[in-house]
Amino acid sequence: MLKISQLVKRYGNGEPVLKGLDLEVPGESIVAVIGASGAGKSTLLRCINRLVEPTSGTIELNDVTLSSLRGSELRAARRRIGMIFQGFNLVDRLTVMENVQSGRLGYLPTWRAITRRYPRKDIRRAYELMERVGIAHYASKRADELSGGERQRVGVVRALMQEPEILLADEPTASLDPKTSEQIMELLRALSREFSLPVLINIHNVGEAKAYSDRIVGMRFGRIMFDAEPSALDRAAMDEIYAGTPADERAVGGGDETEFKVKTA
Amino acid sequence: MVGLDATPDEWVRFTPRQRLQRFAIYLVCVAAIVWALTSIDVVWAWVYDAPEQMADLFGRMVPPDTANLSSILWVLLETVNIATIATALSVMVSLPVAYIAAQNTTPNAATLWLGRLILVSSRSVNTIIWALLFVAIFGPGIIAGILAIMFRSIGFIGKLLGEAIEEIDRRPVEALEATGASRFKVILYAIVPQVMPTFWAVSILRWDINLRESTVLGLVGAGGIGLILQGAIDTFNWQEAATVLLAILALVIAGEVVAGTLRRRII
Repeated sequence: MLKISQLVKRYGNGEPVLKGLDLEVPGESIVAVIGASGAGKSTLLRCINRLVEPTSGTIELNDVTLSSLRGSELRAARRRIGMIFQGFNLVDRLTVMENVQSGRLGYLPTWRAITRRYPRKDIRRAYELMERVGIAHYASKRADELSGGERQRVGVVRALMQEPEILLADEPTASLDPKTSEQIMELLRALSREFSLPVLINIHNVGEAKAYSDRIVGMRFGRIMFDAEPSALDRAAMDEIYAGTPADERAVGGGDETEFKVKTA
Repeated sequence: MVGLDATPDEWVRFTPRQRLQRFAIYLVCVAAIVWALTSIDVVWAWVYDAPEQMADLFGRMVPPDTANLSSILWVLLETVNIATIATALSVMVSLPVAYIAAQNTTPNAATLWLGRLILVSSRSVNTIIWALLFVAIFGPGIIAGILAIMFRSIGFIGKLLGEAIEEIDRRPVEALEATGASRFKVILYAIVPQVMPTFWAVSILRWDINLRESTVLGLVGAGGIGLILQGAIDTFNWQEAATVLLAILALVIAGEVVAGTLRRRII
């Protein structure tokens, strides 16, 4: 169970990107986060595993308060959070197996990491997962020899190798063609069931969000405007999520803003 | 000025003021060259004489004297070893230097400054100057030569490797940080593979350069084939000097071939 409360993120002295978000993701559900570019979807995801440092607010994952961890404690917590990226973020010059095993780096003694002598059970797990997503025959190929969909599968397996308690996916299909996108979304949904994982997906494609998620969260300019099951996402809700400009938002939410600044000061 | 309603039919790239500035810059450049030409002291008689002298020198060099060939080849091998040892050592030393001199990996501002200081001081001094310095400290010989080449190479390799580190793709680094890997393991898996091609290319290039530089180290007493060349010239033994020059030429060509082959194989 992921529990976010009053999450604020501000870069420098500018307008906050996240303006006091509250969000709960209970176990084994797929939550799609939609919203225009700049709504703060990516920042929200990165605040959870602290790739981006939240300005204030708390984030809890299964009773561990992620937002207050430092150093080795933070690294230990990150091992339990798998992340999948828009650009796959593989190390191109390493083999598929090395990329997959890099999901275990947080658990691995340094000498094993250097010499690539991975533990037998990790190798077995890697083959099982690669078999599951259909890339086992690529184990010794370099990651840059694979196609987009295959590369994202490597990314998914890398995240699953961490034995995560939650999966974060930042636009996992935005770099893929429509058919491959659907396959990856299908895969994420199936894996969520198989491993009983909550999955939080940032996604641009509203059609895919509706088709593959259990719940849709709509964001606009750092606030959650919509939070309900996919069937409730109607025309009016879409207009609400995708309309407006930051300037309008400031004009409307002016009073709010002041209040919130006082609170965080 | 044209009115807002009229479509202009005139356009000039520079304003008169800019044109004047450009002209002034040209003038300064020409003046600098003219001044440089007039300030050097050329004995023109020696220049007119050059073809004759060349023919004479060539006559004295032919045929090359191969009496000492075996010892020349032996010293040539020593020259190769100076270059190789110095390159290997400087590659090792330059790794941490590159790491602290790259903006995205250096621990803090002080280490960045230290890294850059090392690179600049190493690069701004020529190998021969380093050699003079080390001959004074360690006495003539191979040690001075190896150190001289090392000190120059560290800056070269460190600088290029540091730039390669700064140009890496950030995204895999982010991905591995997200898995909970320690800093060292992130470097190992996300940064090292990305700079490997540059690492090999720079190391091979530097070995190639060091091979050529080590042939002249002997001129200042820092070991290698240059020592024999200097001896031959000092004793007007032009035939032996010719042999040494041919040997160096062969070495440089061989080095070029080896470096080229390695580059193709590794990268």
